[in-house]
Parts: sequence; C-alpha cells; structure tokens
Amino acid sequence: MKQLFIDTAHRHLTVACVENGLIVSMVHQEAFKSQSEKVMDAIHQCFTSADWQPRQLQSVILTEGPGSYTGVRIAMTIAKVLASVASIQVFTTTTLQLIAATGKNTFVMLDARSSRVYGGLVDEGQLVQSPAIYTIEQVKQFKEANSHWQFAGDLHLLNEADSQSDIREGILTCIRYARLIEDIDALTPMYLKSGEEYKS
Amino acid sequence: MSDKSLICAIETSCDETAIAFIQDGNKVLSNIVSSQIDTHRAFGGVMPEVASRLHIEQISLVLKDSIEKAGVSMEDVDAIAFTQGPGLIGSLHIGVLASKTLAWYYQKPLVPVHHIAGHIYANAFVTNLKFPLLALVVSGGHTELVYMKEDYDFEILGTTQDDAIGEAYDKVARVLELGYPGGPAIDALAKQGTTQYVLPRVKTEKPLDFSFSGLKSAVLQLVLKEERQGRELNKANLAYAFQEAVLDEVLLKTKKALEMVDVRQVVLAGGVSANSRLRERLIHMMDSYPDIALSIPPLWCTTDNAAMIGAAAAIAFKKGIRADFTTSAKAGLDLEV
Ligand SMILES: [Zn+2]
Repeated sequence: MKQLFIDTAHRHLTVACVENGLIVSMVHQEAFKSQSEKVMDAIHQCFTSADWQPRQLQSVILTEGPGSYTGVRIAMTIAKVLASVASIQVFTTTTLQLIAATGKNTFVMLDARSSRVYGGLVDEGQLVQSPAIYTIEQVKQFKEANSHWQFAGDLHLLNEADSQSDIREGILTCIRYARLIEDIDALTPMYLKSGEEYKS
Repeated sequence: MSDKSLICAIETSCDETAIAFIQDGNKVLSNIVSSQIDTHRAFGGVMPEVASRLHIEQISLVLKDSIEKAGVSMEDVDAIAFTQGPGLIGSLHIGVLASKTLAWYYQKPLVPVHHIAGHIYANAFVTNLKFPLLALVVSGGHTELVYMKEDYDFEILGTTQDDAIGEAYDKVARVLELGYPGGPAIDALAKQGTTQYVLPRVKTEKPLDFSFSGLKSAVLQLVLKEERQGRELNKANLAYAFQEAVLDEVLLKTKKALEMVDVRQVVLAGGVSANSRLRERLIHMMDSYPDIALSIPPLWCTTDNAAMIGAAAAIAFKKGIRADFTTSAKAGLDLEV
C-alpha cells in the first residue's frame, strides 16, 4: 500500500511516502506561509527518493486542520484533485495528533493569533475531545488544573520553549487512526474560525 | 509548432471556480463555472476568506464535471494552464495547487496565464485576433487599455487610478439600493431613464488613465442633496446619468488611445463588456474607424471562466511560457513582462 502523508495546516510542511507502516521518504521543514510554493516540490522529492511513480499512489492521508486559513486548504486541494481523477483513497487526521504522536494525555496548542490557540487533548494518538479554540488564559488554567497532562506545540505562547515532537512517530500514529473519507466532494477543512472573522 | 493543442485550464482568481478543456485555442470542449454569486450577494460583495472556502468545496465537483463533459482523458492533455494572478490570493492558491497536482500526477507542462490575457483572448472564440490591436478591458477588478503589438505581447497604455469600473457600478448600485452585482441592475434601470441629472466630468493626470471614484462620490452627493431638499430621487434617471458618464470616460480614453497607436483591431474584454449600452456605444463609435475591426466577446465569455484562460494558454503554450512546481500565485501579477 503506497501512501502519501501531507500536513500543511500549520507552520510546517510535512510530506512523507509511507508503505506498510514504514516511512520510505520524508520532507519536514519550516514553511510558514510558503507551503503553497514548496509542497509540490516536496512531494516530487519524496516520490523520487522513494523511487515511486505518481500513478502508483493508492491513498492520501492529510491533516484537515485545525489551522491557518490558507494552509489548511493546501493539502486538501491536492487530495481532492487526486481523488477526482484516480481511484485514490483519502483519509483525514489532525495536526494535533501529528504533534502529540503516541504521548499520553497531551494537550496540543497551535497559535491561532489574537492570544488564542487551536487546541485539543490527544491520548495515545487519539483525540479525547473535538479540537477547539481556547484563549491562552484558558490553557494556563488547564495547566494548573491538570498536572498529569503534557503540553506540546507552540509553547512559546506560554513563555516556554516549543516542544520538539517525534514527527515520524506522529505520522505513523496519524495513519493508524485516520478516518476514511467516503465523499471527497463534501470534505471541508477544520477551520474552527468562521469565514466572517476575516472581514477586511 | 502546429496549432494543435488540448489545454486543461483552471481559473479561481475571484469568486468563480472554473475548469475548461480547450482544443486548438478556440474550440470549447467543456467550460464548467461554479459561481458563488448567491453567497456574496448576501454580503453585498466578495469576501476573500468566504470565497476561498467555497473554492475548495467546489474544486473536485467542477473538475470531474469538466472532464466528463469534455469527453477527454487527462492523458491526452498537452498542458495544464492556470490563472496565476491577479486576484484574491487565497482563491488563486486553490487553482494553482489544483493545476500543479494534475501536472505532477500526469507529468504535463504547466502554463501560467494572466487573468487579463484570458479576458482579451476570450475574443479568440469569435474572431481571429488581428495585430496590432487595442484591448479595452473592463471588469469588476480592472479597467485597462492594453496595446498588443503581436500575439501575447502586452503593453498597458492606461489604467484606473482608483476604482475599477465594475467596482464603481457596485458602489453606485449600493447607494441606489439596487443590490449586488451592480452592473446588470444599473444597465437595466438606465434603460428607463433619461437626461435629468448632470454629473461632473472626470479628470486624470495621464491622458489614457481612468478614474471613477469622483463620479461615485458625485452620485452620493447628488442623492444627499435631493434628500435634503425634499425632492424625490428618480433612480432611473440617476442610473442613466451615471452610466452615460462612466461610458463617456471609457470611450473618450479609447478614442485618445486610437490617436496614439495604429491598430488593426479593437477588442472589448471583461465582465463589464456584457453591458448593453457599452456595446451599443462602442459599435457606434467604431463606425468612424472603418479600417479598424471591432471584436466584442460572446456574452458567455464576458464574465470570469476558464475557457478564456485556455484560449490564452494555447498561445502561451506555443510560445514556450511555462511554470514549475514552485511558481506561486500572485495577487498583484503584472501583465507586462
Ligand atoms: Zn475577470
């Protein structure tokens, strides 16, 4: 089973070719607001080093968010187009699971600007509750109230060093718990913020 | 190189998700356009983030539909073309990425197209373009006089210093409470109007540039004055006055351009080229230029669509213009290279 993993929902660009539970090739880089220019080259690079042809691809696993409004659409556009022209299965997961990997009771927080985060609790690879938007204050309260939780993601918002996650473990965990999408046309990103919030 | 080509073209620069298959530059095999107009009508205009969200909801449906209607296999396509800009950045991204994905999967060349080039080449569906030509591009986002010495060579002679013509129509339609989009509503209402109101003439620094914001303010001032003096506003007559003033400006600048460049053809382009009064007045004006051909795009190809991008791309493809995987969408892309 030749699988392509893509995450463009946040600051990083993560692309990997995965076969039978093994990461064959991977690109993982800082790509804030430049995922759109970098993603196809990254996919091409992964396929080349895996020695795969595009037509051999069988499934795409992407993060549906939560995340920045533009980034979150990048991986999804690619997946939707591929599924429209070829019999390629699409699965979705979240960036929170990618970052938490197999960690126990891990609250992942990603900068959502205006002193807010996209956050959610992940336990051994599975979301404990639906991701939501929280204020930094709320996260601080979670931290005080739950001493057994770990915190990961954009910890600089709490004036701590950002966590370094095991991205390979994260990818494999995401694939393990990914959700098969039956209707590719109906798939939409997990924005959490309403479109009208961006009124200019 | 022969003129034979099969182009898959994708256009998502504003509020239409559009994919077309164009053969040999002027045969439309399919031209699917999913319009967001009803959603944006509720907001009274296009909201960028909302537009981007609708594009991603439509892209796979439009793609499948367009391939099926065209009755072609993606394998047979010679190139994947896309609107690189100008436009709303979040919206452009969707089309650019969709194109790159197809180009990667089928290992096809990518051809970037400027949105205005698409509008101009919409005329290729009804005429053989004759160079040198002068294009009058009028739309919701653009008002430009473009000189083309030869195929796919663009020189901007004049542009708007403030609002695009379509924007001016939208703003005035809002003042007159005619809803969104404003162009068709004003065009229709003006037909019932006559000369009653006088609006000031426009002044611009450069002879071929346009300006519409003064006109728009003048309309607002006039409405407020009539209200203050307790007179009932005749909306039809004001729509008439506004439309005539806008078209005076557009046609005057076109005439001035014709004094400055020698051309064999004038082509009209852009969404506002659907305006019935503009068509009427331009045809009338061109009667005084018997040696210059006039081309007016077919109504179906005036508003944004991907067929026009495919028509432009067929020429760009032949000229060897290419994009690669790192090519980015450009909200403010220049037409001149
Ligand atoms: Zn346009």
